[in-house]
Amino acid sequence: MIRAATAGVALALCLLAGAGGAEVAAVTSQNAGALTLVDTGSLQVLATLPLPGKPAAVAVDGRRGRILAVAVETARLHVFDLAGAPLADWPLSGAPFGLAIRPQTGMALVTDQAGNLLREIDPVTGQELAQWQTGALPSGVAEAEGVILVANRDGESVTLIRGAVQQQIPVGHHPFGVTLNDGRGFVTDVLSDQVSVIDLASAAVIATIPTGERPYAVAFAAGRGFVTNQYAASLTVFDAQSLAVIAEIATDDYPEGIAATTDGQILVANWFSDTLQVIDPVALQVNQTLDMPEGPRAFGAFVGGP
Amino acid sequence: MQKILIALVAVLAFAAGIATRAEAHGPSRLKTDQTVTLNASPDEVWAAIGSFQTMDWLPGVTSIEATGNEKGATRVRTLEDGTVLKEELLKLDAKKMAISTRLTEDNLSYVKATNYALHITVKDEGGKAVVDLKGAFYRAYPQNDPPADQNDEASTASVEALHQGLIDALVARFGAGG
Repeated sequence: MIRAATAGVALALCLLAGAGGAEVAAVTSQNAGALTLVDTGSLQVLATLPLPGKPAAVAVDGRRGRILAVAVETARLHVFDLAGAPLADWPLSGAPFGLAIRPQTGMALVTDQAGNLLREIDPVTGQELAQWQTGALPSGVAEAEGVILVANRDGESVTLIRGAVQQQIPVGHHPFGVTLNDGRGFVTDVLSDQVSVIDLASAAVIATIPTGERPYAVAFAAGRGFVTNQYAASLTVFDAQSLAVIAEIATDDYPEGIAATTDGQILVANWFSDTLQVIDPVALQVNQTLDMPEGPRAFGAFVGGP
Repeated sequence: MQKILIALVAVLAFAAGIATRAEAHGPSRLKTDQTVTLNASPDEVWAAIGSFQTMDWLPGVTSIEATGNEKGATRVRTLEDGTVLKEELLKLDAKKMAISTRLTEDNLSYVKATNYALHITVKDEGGKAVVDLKGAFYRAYPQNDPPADQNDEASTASVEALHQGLIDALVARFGAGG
């Protein structure tokens, strides 16, 4: 009995150590079918896990100790803990693609490109809790401060959801990635080579930022926005307040998913080069390049910690 | 207890997966990467291939009508067998010796792929040109359940064969340097 109790305490300590670990970046490799966990402090690869079904979208819920990823080919929502242990693997309806975590509840928001819907899924039970109609081919999604924004690639619009109120806002050609920052939404218009900036309070486009060719996603650090430009193999850097373009940083090929760490670095997944690059947002330079399994995309808020 | 629960959840999830035939998403983007070392300097090779308006290095091209040599320019390229290709210049960077083009209209008789883009870079390795050809594309069949000759493997093989033809033309002109 005492032994069992001791073992129980040891197991609990192990679980605590796992849960209380460092911030992780969770990188989906679409071609390889893998999820790579990187310690954002040491920049060491912690684990490489099999994740079949051509995964692209991923989101880390640091507070609740969960990593969520959508496998597009198999239409499944995979749930892992921050150490990479698989917790669940739920079937999803339609053609799921984009993913975000609701900050207040930890529920998953998944775009369905077959049904032109946004679905809310409980990652613990796999149950669908709600759904909203979107524009055509909903892709990226994000939520902050009670506002959900969905980029409708073929609808060339953004769906803004605030409580029971839903609005459609026209943007540029093929909007794809969505990031919210300081009361504004930033949407990459892939075929317009620009980012549309939406004021969330007035639900209006207030500016467009010129980017390199085929912008994919946006992240923020050090008061600056960073846009991955797939074809240009670069990041467009702009001032988060004035929205003026400051610089362009060369990256490896086909930069796609991008996210900031809490210690203020920018991480970029380069789909073609099979790398994850670490960028200093102040010095505006690439500090480190890590090898990833084939085809890293990391589409979403892929960094988080307890 | 927690482990048992996790195991149970996993079993249930697996069972659910079997019960529900997942409506799969469309195809995912594919890539190829092939490299050749030539018996010429990077400058010599770039002088031949670093243009959107000419393709003298490649046999079988009968005409090129290009709107320019800047990013965003388009061209109509006609081949000896009558194939007409419509292409766009995505990138032309003489400093990096990099040129990227894409087919603006898929042409499955030319290459069994859709949304096909070609990225060529020339690098220096001990004075010899190392040419890297990268393809980024989707398979020829855009829906689910592709026929065998238009699936991921067949499309990848088709792009690799096309790029091997480009490599063969470069080797014929400059000689192999490996």
